[in-house]
Amino acid sequence: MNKVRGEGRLQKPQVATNVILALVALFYLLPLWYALNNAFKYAESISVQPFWLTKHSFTFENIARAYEQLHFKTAFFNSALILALSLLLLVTLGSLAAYGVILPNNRAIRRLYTFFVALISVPPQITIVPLLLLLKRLDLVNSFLGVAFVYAGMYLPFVIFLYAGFMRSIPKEIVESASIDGCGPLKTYIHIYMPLLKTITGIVLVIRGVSIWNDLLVPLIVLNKNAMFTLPLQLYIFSSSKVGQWDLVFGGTVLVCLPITVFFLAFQKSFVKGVMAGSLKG
Amino acid sequence: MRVWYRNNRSAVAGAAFVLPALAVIGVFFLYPALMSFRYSFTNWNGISPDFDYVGWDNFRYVLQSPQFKQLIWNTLFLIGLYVPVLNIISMLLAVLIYDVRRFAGMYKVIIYLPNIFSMVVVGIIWKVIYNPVFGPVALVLEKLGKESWAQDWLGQTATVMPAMSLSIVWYSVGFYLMIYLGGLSTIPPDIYESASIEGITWFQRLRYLTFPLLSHAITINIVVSAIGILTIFDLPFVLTGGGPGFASQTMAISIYIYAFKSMQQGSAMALAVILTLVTTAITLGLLRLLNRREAAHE
Repeated sequence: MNKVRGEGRLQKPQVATNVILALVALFYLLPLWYALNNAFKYAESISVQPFWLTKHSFTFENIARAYEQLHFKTAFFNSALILALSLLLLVTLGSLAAYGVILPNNRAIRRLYTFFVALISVPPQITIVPLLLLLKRLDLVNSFLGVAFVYAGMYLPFVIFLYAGFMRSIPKEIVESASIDGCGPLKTYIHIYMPLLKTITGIVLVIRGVSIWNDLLVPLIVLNKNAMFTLPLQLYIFSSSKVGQWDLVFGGTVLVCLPITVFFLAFQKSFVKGVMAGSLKG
Repeated sequence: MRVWYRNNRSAVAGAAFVLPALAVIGVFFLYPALMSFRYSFTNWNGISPDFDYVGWDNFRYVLQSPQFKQLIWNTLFLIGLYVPVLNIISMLLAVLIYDVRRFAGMYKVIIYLPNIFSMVVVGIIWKVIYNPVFGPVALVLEKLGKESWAQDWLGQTATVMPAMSLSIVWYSVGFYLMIYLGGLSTIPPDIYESASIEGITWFQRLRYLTFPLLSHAITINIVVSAIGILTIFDLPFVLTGGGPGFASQTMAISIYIYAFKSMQQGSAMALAVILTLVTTAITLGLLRLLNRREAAHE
């Protein structure tokens, strides 16, 4: 195929295509570069020279001050704890439930599965007001576990759907031979299914991990103690209180982007693959 | 007997495995969702244990409120303009990226990049970009001698929706691009090969080969982007907060404002019920329409 594409007639469109795509890439990089380079600039230089950084205008002070005022360390650990708890719930409960669905069993559970899948398209906004009262009753307001349960309730239908789809594609012979060897359903799940589904677990961790890490709505509603705020919530509050102090706002913005960027660059390949595979199934 | 035992045993095991997830979904999603339906017919204020049923009052209040017309208009704008524009752009980019040999991976990563950041981050950046005094757009226009073209993009009723949509498109294209690329990668290469031997043009190939072969990915993307835009909260909330006035309010923002700013919980839940019904109706409608089209292509 590459050979055909490489032949003369198609060479010219390649140049045009690359020009178009390079312009699109520029349109994507400019806003990001704009925020990035201004995070390292004195306020006075930002309005005059918004697109380039000189030795003269360089400073690290914005980042340092934003680090303090965002309570970055606390917010980072809050975000990380919420992420870990939510993903633990999603992966364990989600894969277990999907396994329960694909076991040869009665029709009731199959029906339940259809219902799970239908829940994927229900907007989470429908839950928010009663959810708050419920969390108060369960003493889960201002609790990381409370936030994690909210995410679990929101995303489990999707995760179950994803796992069930891939579990169905595992050949029955593998499972049958395991059961002949005396593996019960639970053992088969732990020793046969989960190791085979590492990729899916990776997809769940990446897709849902990113959306939970970046989410504003749930922490905005459930958490009201400053010491428990997550990175996006801190950044939102910080940027609304610093209107006009663009040096600080950019410093904070870049700082908040740092952890996920490092993660993305480290796992770029599997990240993109995961999103593609996951979204095709979802 | 043993067969019966095996089947029964796995049904019991299945139920036990489904139970924990079912409990979490039931308690933290389903129960509050159903309560919203119930409370939307009451004057409950979100806190006190007492409330009375008030019939359709909340719905009447929401539907007759001055901003509801604007809300409908904005929703139609986003569904009617944002969804097709977003899908056309993502599909074209996917086709272009699929065609290039070198740099394809780089283009993919760059266009996908905004997706890894919080919508709070994206909202902040675009808010500054659109700033009429200070922003880079205003600065570039000034350098070009076109100061008069600089507008308060987010501060005017006439420009806020297109400006907001542009930033949402900028943010979302990467995600939909990936799905289209995934769809393209499932097309067997020999179809394109034999087509190129037949000597068809680029547009013919797009129209008669790529479109029909992508129809499944198109269906997924149209439905997912329609649901996505109806329920999007973070980005518009950070960018405009629904303003100026109600000019850029979306259903999701309006629900939040009713519930937590103006403390009209009944109205918030009535609107949330409307949003759920609209989302379900649009999802089912689109699926039926698109499935019929997909079937017609086969």
